Amino acid sequence: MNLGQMRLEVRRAIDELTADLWSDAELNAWINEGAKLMTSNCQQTQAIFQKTLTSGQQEYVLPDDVDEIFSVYLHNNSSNYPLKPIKPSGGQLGSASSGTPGFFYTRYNSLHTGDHVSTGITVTAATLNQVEPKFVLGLFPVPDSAMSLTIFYFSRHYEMKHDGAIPMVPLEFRRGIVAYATALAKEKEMAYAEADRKRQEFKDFSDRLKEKMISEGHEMGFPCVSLDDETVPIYGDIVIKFGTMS
Amino acid sequence: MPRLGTLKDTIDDALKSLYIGDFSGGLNSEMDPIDLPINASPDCENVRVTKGGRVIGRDGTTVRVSSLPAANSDGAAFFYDDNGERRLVVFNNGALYDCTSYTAVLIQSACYTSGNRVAATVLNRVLYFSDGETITTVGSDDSGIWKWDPVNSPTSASILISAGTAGTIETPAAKCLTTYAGSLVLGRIKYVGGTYAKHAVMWSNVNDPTTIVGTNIFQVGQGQGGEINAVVPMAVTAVGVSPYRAIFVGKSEQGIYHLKGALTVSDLSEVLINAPTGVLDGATVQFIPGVDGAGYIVWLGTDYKVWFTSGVESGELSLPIRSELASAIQERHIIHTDPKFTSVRHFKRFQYILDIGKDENGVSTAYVYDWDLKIWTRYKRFPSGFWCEAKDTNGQAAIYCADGDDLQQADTGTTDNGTQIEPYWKTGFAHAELVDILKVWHWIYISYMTDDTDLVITATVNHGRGSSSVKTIAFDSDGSDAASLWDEAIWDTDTWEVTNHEQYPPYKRRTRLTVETTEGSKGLLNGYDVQVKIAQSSDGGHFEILGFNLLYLPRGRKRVAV
Repeated sequence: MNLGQMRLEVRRAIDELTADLWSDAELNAWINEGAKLMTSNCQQTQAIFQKTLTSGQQEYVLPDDVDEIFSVYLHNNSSNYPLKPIKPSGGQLGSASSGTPGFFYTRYNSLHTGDHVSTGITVTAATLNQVEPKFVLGLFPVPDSAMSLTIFYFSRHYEMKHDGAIPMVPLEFRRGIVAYATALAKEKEMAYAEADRKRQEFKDFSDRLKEKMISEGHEMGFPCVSLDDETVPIYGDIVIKFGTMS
Repeated sequence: MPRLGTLKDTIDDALKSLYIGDFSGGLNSEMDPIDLPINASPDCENVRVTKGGRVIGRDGTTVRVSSLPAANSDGAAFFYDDNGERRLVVFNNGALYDCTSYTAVLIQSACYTSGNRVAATVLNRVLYFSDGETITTVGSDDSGIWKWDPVNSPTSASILISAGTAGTIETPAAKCLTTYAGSLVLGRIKYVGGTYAKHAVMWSNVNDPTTIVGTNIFQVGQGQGGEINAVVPMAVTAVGVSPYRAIFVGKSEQGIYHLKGALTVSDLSEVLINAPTGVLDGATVQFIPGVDGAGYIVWLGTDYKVWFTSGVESGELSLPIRSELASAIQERHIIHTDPKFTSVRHFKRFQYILDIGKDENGVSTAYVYDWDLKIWTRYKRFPSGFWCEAKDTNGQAAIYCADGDDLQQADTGTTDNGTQIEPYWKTGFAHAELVDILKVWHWIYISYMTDDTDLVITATVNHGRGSSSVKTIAFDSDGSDAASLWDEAIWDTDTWEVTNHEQYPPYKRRTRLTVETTEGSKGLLNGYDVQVKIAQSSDGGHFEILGFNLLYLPRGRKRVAV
């Protein structure tokens, strides 16, 4: 089921085979939104991004399709070792501000453009970011040489633009995306109960896909908590749907 | 408490329905449109309503004779001659034309003065006519009335020459002519010699129109209320009154009478009818059947209202269109120096058609009263001029109008001489019984019958001043052609086959009531009330609405003052 076929399914569900209340562009947007939400929830698609660091540069803009990072490795002197996550504020500590990074953090770009002047930080431009905020990765300490960084992440679903575009969600779960777009369409029609039912249908598909990912041993990102100044993954007992694991 | 996502709340989403399947209220532009019954329309045009409440586009008009010599005809008449042959005549350019075969055949020239309205009547299958002013001299004879007997004088008419017996006067001219109990009855007299008797009615001897005795005269209304402009036979019926025949007499300023008794000076008496008006134009007076079996005279009053009388009881007939009618007539008086108002009965449709002429743009208007349903409707671009009731070659009721220099047959065909009829029906402000609740209008489902017309639906909210949803339902036959009403049937011992008799197939279509939003996308129509106009696209075709259903969702918000 490609984009065009999914849109047709939505049109059948909303009883409008010829565009009138809902335009094709509107439905395409909602189908893409549903695909992104489903892949984000299921952490189904993974990708790798490699970057050669620049000495003295702490932050690097990540690709647009980065949804969630689950591993960062630094290659230094022919060996790879993982970096530990910390909070962004931890990356601004004055000591050991330069050297071989041992930690990483992520943050979204500010909507403001700032500049550091002699009297302190000043805002040189205060315009709203017209595009989606950039997701950046920062390193601590700040690298002092050109090392190689490898980032493993769950990617966002790509934007389907042509009717022939096929979503990356397995075929048997694509009806969940249809349900999501239908839910939004029903909301526009003020059929809120119908919208609720379709949203629940989407959630069911999404949850089932996530379970499938877990049961198949797909690498998943686990919840993180902040301890002191560090953000670390929870180790120990993790409750999952089918029981416990250590 | 959050909603359980797995449970559908039917109350929230269930669309409610406002069904309008009866249009038998007709045109009612007088009543507040927010209080209008759902089956009535504040504005409908070129439609008629059936007994069952369907609304149908009126039939078209067809020019049968064109380019008569004078720009405007002065009258038209239909009768059967002594051989039982149809005769359809037009008075134009001072001449009489036989147009029966849809070709203008000159019968008699110089038989009246061009521009004068011609009154005509039939007695014993002979046509008598007069313009009320012209006295014609032939040899030693003078007469104000002409006659045409197609059997004995097929190619010419002649003046009605007085018998010349004792007491008989030379035949005067008369603005009003009719027949009553075998006599020729004249109203608003002009004697040979030029003297007028504008308040008088005279009559001939029975079956002898050549004998008009000078003393057989009756002054109506004691010379008050203007001149006589209508003389029409009628039957007086009312509860508690034994029916009797009479002559309705209208005066041009004030006064409506009927004359009762035999046509003798001693027996005839006048009865003042209790209607505080006169007759604005004698051509608007018609004797129509009533649904109760009684007959009623109807006329356009000098107060610009349509009145009716049974001879005993009377009242205003035009209440549903009172202001609209008065305004239109007032306009005609402003733009025309001598506007004419005419009428015709159309028995095929149970209609009294009041023709009020053309507006400043040359568009004619007729207000049509259906005496069977007791409702009004409005026709635009219908023929306008002097009308006559007739029968077609199959003996079926037909109506003709001497419109300008044409003779048109009205209510026939599917176009107005090639121009689309443009019928439409508009509802009042339908609020679905929840006046102060905002509603989202989702759908209109419409049932209609047609051959190939596209429907244009305009739904406007908030007293017709809010946003509008304009949708076209394109004709889609779904492959079904016009279906035969029946092919053949067995009756008695024979099989009867009917061919070429088709009915229009019914369709049910729907469209979502969407509106363009300021953001460039579309939304649903929402408002407290909705007014729906159903019209026809410019393609024309058969227009017949069976009913429609509006599906809406109350959103619960209260009306706020605007």
